[in-house]
Amino acid sequence: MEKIGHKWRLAVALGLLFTAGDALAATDYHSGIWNLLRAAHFRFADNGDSRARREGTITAGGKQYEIWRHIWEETPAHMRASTLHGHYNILVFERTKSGLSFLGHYDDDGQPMHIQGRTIKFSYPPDEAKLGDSIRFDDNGPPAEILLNGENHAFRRAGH
Amino acid sequence: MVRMPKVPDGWFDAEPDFLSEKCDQSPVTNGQSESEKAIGPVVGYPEMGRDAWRAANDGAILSATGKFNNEHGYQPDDPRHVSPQMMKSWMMQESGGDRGAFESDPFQVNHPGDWVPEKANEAGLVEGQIMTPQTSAEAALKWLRFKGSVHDSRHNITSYRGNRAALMGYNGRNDLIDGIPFKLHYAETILNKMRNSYGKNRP
Repeated sequence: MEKIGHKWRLAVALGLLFTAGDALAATDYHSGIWNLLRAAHFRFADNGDSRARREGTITAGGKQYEIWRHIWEETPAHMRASTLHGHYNILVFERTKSGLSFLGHYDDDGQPMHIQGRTIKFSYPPDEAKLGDSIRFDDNGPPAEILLNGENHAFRRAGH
Repeated sequence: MVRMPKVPDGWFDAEPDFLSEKCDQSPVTNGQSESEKAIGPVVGYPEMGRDAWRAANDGAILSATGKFNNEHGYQPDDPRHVSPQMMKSWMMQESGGDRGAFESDPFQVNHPGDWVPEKANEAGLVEGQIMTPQTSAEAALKWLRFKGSVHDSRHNITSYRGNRAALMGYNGRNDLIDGIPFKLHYAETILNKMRNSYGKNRP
């Protein structure tokens, strides 16, 4: 009886842990950067299919920029047709005295990235990297256009 | 467990003779108009009886591929050439299980979730426009060509990656399924559908 009680308590504790984990994992689309994105008319799926993570900061021209990765990966529950789609963006924010300000974004192909000084470096295999694998900020901030793996991407300034 | 389809390396991009022999034969015409011609079913997507709707876009596919290949001068041995059989296999992957999508935007080229402004310039689309199978097929081919092309910093096209890579770029999804990128799984599934439905192994 003692053993059964112990197992039952363990099961309840694990259940609560998983429930708490789900709650923690759920994205709150009405706080943090999501409000900034919404105010700037950057469209995202607020149904759980969009998520974002901070990749790091860049200091250039006396300004500090925060770089975020936005990921939209359709889930079966929200799939429009017969196959899943995905889309990725690099979000650029400027850190000001009053907080973060959304500057704009690039579309890209979702390749993993890391930040080295003023440069965002993407982890392409060598044959793709030679077709463009980085975004280098200058004193004016993010470049107006970039080339990643043989594809041009414009920096789309946020509409405030 | 999801099974990874097997396509031999280089099968699609490096063996155009196979395509020209087996995949680019014009379907039976018998004096039919373009819209009345048939490509034949993709394995796993029946077109008989209540499933007859899956044959309804054959005319749009034949028209779009004919126009695309003719306009660019792509012969069957050109890596940028797209056969009606490949396009139908691709369409089934995108919308073969969803009649509503199949009858409006069967290639899901104007999906709001992955809209980018380049689709206006490169594929002639307007975001959110009402789509038909014909506009979907024509835009999908233009977007496929764009995604398969290597550009330099001046936007000049310098080479073509092949249609397998173009399909990967078209889908664009980068997360993993069974340890491989989703977009690779997507492309190889389409190419396997084409091989199994219209290729050498056709029963």
